[in-house]
Amino acid sequence: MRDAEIVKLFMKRDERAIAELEGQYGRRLFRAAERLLSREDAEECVNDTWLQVWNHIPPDEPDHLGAYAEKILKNLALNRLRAQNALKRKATLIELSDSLSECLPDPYKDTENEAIANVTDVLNEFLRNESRARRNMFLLRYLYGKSVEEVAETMGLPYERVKKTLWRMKERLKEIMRS
Amino acid sequence: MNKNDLLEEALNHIDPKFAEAAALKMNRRNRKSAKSPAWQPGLLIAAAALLLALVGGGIFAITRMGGRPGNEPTKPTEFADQNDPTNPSQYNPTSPSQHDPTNPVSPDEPSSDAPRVDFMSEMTFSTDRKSADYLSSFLPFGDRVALYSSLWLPSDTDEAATKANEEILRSHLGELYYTGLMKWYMVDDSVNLKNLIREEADGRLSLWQFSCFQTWGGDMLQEEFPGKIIGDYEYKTLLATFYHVTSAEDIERVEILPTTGVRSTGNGTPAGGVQPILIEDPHDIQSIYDILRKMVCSGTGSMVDNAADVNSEDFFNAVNAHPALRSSLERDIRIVLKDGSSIQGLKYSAFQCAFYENGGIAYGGLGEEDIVAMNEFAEIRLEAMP
Repeated sequence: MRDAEIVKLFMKRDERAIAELEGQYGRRLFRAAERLLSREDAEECVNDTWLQVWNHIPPDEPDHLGAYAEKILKNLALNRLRAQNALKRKATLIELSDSLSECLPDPYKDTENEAIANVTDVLNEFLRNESRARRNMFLLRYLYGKSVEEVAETMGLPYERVKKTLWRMKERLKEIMRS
Repeated sequence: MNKNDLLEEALNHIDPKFAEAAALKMNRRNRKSAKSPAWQPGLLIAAAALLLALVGGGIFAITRMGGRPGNEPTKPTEFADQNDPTNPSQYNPTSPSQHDPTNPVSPDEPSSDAPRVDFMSEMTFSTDRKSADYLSSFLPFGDRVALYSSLWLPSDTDEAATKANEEILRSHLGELYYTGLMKWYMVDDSVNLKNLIREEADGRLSLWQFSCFQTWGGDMLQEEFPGKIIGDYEYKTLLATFYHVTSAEDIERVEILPTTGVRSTGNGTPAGGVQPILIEDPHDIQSIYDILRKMVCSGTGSMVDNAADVNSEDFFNAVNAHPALRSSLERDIRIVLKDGSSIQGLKYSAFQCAFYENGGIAYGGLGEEDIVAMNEFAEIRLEAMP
């Protein structure tokens, strides 16, 4: 069944839509989820995706249903990963925010959303200008809460090199935030 | 909200592509450490044996992977010239914009991978391009925003080559396509928008090539191009919008050729030991079209991680360490359409389990069955994995 026809089923709130969507894209989505999560979590994530698609169409009316569902799946998977690593992440974030403390905007001066958007823009710009390897190192440490040893093992690099690289990156980020 | 929470929220909202790439790295590492490495020495010995066979001028004698998807692909006796002229399309330029944003692009994929059309073969391209020589620019294209990358820019250091190239471009200036801060012209009288000629502020000319539709850009790009779709897209969108291909019936034949990619072969000459293959059977064309149409482009700088579906990370690393192997696992794809035009610059990599186009734009989202089928069509034979 073509995407447009499946979308029509969603619009009519016909439950066959999910079966058709699963038949068309289930395997592809499961593979995409399994790249990020364990098998069990991947299965749950895919099931959550069907629900999200059901809840969002309508009002959404995507042209490319597969890409649309995959985007939802990836967001769910990344949220799940962040939640799974939340505890470990707290500690690493304290370390990062201590380093950047003087440069971070005062969240009580701006509105919360403005402050978050400003810092997000700076982070995105900073990460965009880094190599893929350094970017991954930084995010493994501060987004997923990995220890320096775990980051070194994941990247296949010596511990000292990772430690030094992360320190230099924090310094660079501090300079960017100051300016 | 304290500063710690602020940082946490900001990190939660970074570009999802960055977060995904790091997560993939993390998960791949987790899966690899759980896997038995018992067969790894065998793989390295196999890779070394393949390399020796190449060096000795021997033959690849390796086992086919998977079964045949359908009829035998037929072998051609001759091909049309790869520089066939293209036919006009029906695109109408949009109204002019007042801004022409340009961003420098990392030269990860040199333009020597780009297909050559007649007039380009007359031009001189530097082999020593620096990062400052790679520019990109956004242009409106239908309901999307197209990213064009510079192929050649006038230079103050090589006046003779610049003058000669400019004369060639001036003699191929076609209809005005778009006026922003600078003017963009089509090439000759064709309405093929694959290549455009730009008139710089000082009146000199430069040559550009379409890279992809823009898939990210934030508020600034949305402001610049209101109402345009900016996001990931399936290749069928490009096929329909750019090439007017809406079904397999628009395709005359598919040519699967030895790769000439500089990154694969080292010097741009066709990979040896690989025979061109011509796909003309309508069922086979339909199968290839079904694979191509659903692959997804996430734009520049995106990662394609299909390889984990079919090939292990160790295979990936082993082939990466031996470029001669890599060129045997990659093919240039040329799709000849029934209207006489052709789609060039598409490359298939059984090594990366993905397609690439226009100097490194990656297309992923292929499943294992798609890769197996493409390998069959391209007669790419992989060492049997234990």
